[in-house]
Amino acid sequence: MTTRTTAERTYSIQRTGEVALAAIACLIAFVFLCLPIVAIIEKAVRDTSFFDVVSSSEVTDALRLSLVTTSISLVLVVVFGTPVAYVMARTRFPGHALLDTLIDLPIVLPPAVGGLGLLMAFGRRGILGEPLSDLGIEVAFTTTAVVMAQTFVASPFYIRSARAGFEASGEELEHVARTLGSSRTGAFLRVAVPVAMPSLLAGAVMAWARALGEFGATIMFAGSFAGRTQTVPLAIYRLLETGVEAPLVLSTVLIVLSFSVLLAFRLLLRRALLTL
Amino acid sequence: MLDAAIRHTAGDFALDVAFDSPGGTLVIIGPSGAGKTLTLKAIAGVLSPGAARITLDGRILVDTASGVSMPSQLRRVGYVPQDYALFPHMTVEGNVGYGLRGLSGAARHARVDELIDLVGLAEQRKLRPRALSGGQRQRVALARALAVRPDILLLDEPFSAVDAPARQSLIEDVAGVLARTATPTVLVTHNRDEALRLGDRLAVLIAGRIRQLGSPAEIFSAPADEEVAAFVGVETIAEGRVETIADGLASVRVGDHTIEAGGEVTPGDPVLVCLRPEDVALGPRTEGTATSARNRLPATVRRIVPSGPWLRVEMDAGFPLVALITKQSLEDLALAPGSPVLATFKATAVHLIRK
Repeated sequence: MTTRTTAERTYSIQRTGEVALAAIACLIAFVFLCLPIVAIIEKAVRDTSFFDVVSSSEVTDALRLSLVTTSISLVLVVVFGTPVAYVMARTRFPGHALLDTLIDLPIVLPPAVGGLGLLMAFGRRGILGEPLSDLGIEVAFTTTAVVMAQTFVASPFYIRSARAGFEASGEELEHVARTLGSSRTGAFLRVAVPVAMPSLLAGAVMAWARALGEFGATIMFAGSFAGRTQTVPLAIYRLLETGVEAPLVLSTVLIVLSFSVLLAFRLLLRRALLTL
Repeated sequence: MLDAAIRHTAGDFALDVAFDSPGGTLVIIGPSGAGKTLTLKAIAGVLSPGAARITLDGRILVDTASGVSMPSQLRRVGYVPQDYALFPHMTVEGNVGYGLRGLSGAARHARVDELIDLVGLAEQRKLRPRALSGGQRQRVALARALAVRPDILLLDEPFSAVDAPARQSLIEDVAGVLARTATPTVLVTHNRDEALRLGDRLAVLIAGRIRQLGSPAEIFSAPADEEVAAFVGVETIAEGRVETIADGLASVRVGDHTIEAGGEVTPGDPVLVCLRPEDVALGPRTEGTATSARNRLPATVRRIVPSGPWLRVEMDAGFPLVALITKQSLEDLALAPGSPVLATFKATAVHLIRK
C-alpha cells in the first residue's frame, strides 16, 4: 500500500477544481445556446397542430419566398463575389486596404443601416432609383429588393472566405499552369477555383445562412408583403401578432433546415479535405 | 539558345543580369536573395521585369524596349518552382497530363505513360501529391514540365525540399533525366555540389549581378573576385603582394611568409591568395621531409571541426589557413588545438586574384 503525500493530495484537489470549473462553464454555455432551440421545437411539437400550420398558405408562401430569394442571392454572391475575392487575393493596388474594409463593412453594420442605404440608392427618390423610376422600373418593396438586401448583407461572408482560400493556395500553382499552356482564365478555372473549393463552399454556406436569416435590411428596403417580400424571418415577426403557433412552426422548419445544411456541409468538407 | 538581359527592381533590391546559354545545363549559383528566382520567373513569364530582352532559339519572349511580352503559355518553357507547386486536387497522372490538353486521348495517355516511366513513378500514378515523398513530388514536377516538350527547362532549387539522404540519388536521377531528354536547362541553386554535378556552364549570381560566367572548372579554380571565391568554396583567402616573378612563378608576400604561385600578375600587384582546404597537406614540423610542394608554412592549430567524413583544421599561419584531413591523419599527427604543424601545398594549388 502506498500512502498519498500531502503534495499529491493538493495537486489532485487542484486538478479536480479546474475540471469542475471548466465543466460548469461548458454546461452554462451549452444550456444557454441550446435551451431556446429546444424550447421552440418542444412548443411547436406540443402546442401546435404542426402539419396543419405548415401547410397553411401564409407559412408555405414565406418558405417558398425564402428559398427562392436566398437561392438567387447565393448565385449572385458567388458569381460576382468570386472574381472580387480572387482580385483582392492576388493583387495589391493603391486603396486595396480601403476597398477591403468597405467589402467587410456589411458584416458589422446594423442591417437596418444597410436597408436604409439601399433605399437611398435604389428607392423611388434614390440616387439610382429615381432615374430607374422614370424609366418605369420600381425596385424598392418588390421581391427584387428582397434579393438585393440579402445579397448586400451576405456577400462579405462569402468574399472573406473565398479570398482566404485563394490566398492560402498561392499563385505559384497558377504560374505553373500558365507555363503548361493555360491562359490566366484557364489557370483560374482549372487550378485556383478547385484548390480553393473548400473555402468557397464554406463561404457560400455562411452567406446563404446569413441571407436566410436576413431581417433588418429587408424590412427597410422591401417591406413585409405576404407572398412578395415576406420571407420567413419577416413572417415570424408579423404572424406573432396573430398568435404564437405559426411563428413556432416556421422557426422549427428554419432550425431543422439550417442545422441539416450546416451538418451536411461539415461532413462534406471533411471528405473534401481528406481527398485533397 | 537562351539569351537573356534582365533588369528589375523590387524594393531596394536591384537585379541586373545578362547571360546566354547555348544549350546543356546552365547552373545559376548564388546565395539566397541574390535574385536567382526572379531571373527564372522573368524567363518563365510569370513576372514582368522592369526592363528585359529575352530570346529563346530566336523567338523573342520579352523585349521591353519594343513592348513585347509573350504570354507564359506561349513561351514553351518548363517551370519547376522551388516547392514544386503540384496541383493538390489532381493525381500524379493528372499533374503530368495537365499541359497535354491539346492532344487526343490516346496520344495524351501515351505521353503521360512515357513521362511517368521516365521518372519511375508507375506505382504512384493514381496518388495525389499529399501522399508522395519530397523526392517523388520533385519527379512529378519534372515530368509535368517535360511532358509538353519545352524548349527550355527552368528548375528553381530542385533539391532544397528534399531530405539530405535522398538528395544525392535524386541529383543523379535528375542528371539522368536531363541527359536522356536533352532538354536545355537553367537550374538555380546555392549548392556547390549540385552545380558541379549538373552544370555544363555556371553563372555566379551575387547581389543581383552575374559575377562570373564560365565552365565549372574555370569558376572553381579561378574565381573572378573575392566574393565569388568565398562562395564557391575557396576557404583560405589571404591578402598579399607580388614580390618577384621567376620562371612564370610568382613569389607573393603574405604576412611573414612567401608563397609561390602561378598566375598572370606582375611584381608589386596586390593580390588575394586563394587556397582550397583539400589542397593543403599537414605534416610534423621536422626538417627534411621530401615533398614536391613549393610552399611549406609553419602554422599553429586553432580549431578542429568535423565536416562530413573529414575534419576541418583551422590554423594560424600569420593568416587564417584551413585544411581538410581524414580522422586517420589527425590521429597519426596527434593534432589538437595549439599543436604546431607544417602546412604544405603546391604552387599550382594557389589561385591568385588581382585586387
